[in-house]
Amino acid sequence: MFPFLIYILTLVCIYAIIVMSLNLAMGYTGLVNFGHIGLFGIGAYTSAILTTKFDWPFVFAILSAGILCAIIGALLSIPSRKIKDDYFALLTLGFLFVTGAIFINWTDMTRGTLGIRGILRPEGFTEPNSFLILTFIAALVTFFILEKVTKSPFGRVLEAIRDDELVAESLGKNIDRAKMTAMTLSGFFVGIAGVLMAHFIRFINPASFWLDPLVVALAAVVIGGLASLRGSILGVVIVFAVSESLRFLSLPSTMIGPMRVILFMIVLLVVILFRPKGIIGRADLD
Amino acid sequence: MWIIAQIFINAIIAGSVYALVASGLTFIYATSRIFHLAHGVVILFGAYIFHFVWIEQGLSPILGVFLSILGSVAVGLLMNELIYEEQRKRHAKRLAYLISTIALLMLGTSSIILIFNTSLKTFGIQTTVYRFDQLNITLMQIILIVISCLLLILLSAIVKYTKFGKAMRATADNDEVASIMGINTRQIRRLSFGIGSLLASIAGILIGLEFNLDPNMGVYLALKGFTAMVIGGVGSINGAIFGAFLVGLFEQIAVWYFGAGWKNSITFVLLFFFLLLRPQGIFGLKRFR
Repeated sequence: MFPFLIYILTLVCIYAIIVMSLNLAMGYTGLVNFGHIGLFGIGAYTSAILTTKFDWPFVFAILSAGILCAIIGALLSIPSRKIKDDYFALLTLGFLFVTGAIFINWTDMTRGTLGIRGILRPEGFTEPNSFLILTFIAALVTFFILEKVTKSPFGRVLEAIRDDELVAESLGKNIDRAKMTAMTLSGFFVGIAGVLMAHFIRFINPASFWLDPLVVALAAVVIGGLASLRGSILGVVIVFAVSESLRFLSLPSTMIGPMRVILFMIVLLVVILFRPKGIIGRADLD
Repeated sequence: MWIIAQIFINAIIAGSVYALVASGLTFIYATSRIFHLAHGVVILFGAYIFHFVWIEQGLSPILGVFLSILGSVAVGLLMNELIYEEQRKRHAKRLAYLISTIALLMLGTSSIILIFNTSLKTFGIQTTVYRFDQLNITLMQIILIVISCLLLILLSAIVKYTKFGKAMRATADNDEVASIMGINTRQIRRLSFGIGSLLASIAGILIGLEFNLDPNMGVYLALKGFTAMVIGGVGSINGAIFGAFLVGLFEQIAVWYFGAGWKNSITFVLLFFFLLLRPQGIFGLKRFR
């Protein structure tokens, strides 16, 4: 197969992990977490720094990045006890801006806007084909684990929290712990996605974890549908299909980036207006 | 000691711009219950049109101001009519408005990049610098503060003394009752979007003249305006103005203490602590949500 297709498929797998884990927080639990991309960046930077600066093996790096993001995800769930809905969403957007500032300003570790170069792919997966297989397996594992979680009684507790926190609480569910568990899982998987991204592109800078990936993730999760993992995968595929079809218009390269965002956002607005559940979603934006 | 005085002066300059942003946001929030973050883009449109007409085309600045107000108001009203009002018809929830306003914010930012391209825009205006011992303030900055104060006074006068202001306050209190009493709430929302966008275009022009223009500014301005709103207590215009100056002050302290790189993220630390510890804002007149 030609390398371009492999490249796109790898990105689709990575974004599928991001969007599925975002859906766990946003669609199932009702915690709109714009800071998700901040966690994605933390995962990527952690692994990049550990492998290039401290020569850690990939396996330990990916595990520590996942665990770190899980912990930060858990911490992010704490303010949701007092700060609800759109206030929580904007607060997490603030978290994204803070992580962005850390990536830019903590130059000793992150090399600031220069970014980190020369991140190696793990042993045995240096070829694009084998790396695609690795990310595909990761996406598949994520899907099955999250499918298991969301279909379990615990998943129903999460959906009860989304629909009505008070009712869930009065039924004796520990909603704080449930939210924290959901955010921990969500953080862990997006951290893994960040690691895969860093080792796939082999170069990261603060701009890679800024508003562009947020736009993609948000568009995919809403278009595909909230509270549906299959919807998330479908959303990612649609978003990438839309974005890659722009290549055939032979636009000047400076126009492609903004055109892409404009297209995503128009599709997103149309979906919000005419089908707020998304294509195969089960929950409304509430 | 002079550095503290200089920090205060800079805070007042930044704060008076943020006050315009935050009061516009509050004005719109009061009637529509939407955190209109896409306001940041409305500001940018004003600023870029002014720059385009005056600097790039070399036409008169008065025409630039006129066209920039026209452009911003048109963009603001279009957002309201095409998106928010349509959503309102379909009984959208608060989060749906939030997602769509963020979509509009990104859409607008990218359109600006597409239309005016990404290069940094400067007006390159040098005005007289007044020095008092070691303190500096330029004529431009004094004009900026004066214009913004005048506009804010005008705004509170509109809210307090005109018939529209009365109808607006009624809508803000309870739009259902207001519409039963014969107030055309849709018209009121339209007007508040119009006035808010007008303020935005002037804020944009002042920002352009004082700082440089870059397309990412819209996002930051919107979030700073929102933070100012939360600090003052969501829904109160005076609170928002106070919050704007507090944001300006904290920003300047952060720049002085940590360096310019942290300027934009300090706002969120402020937002975080206010949401957590005093969600009703400093004045706390309105109940949270």
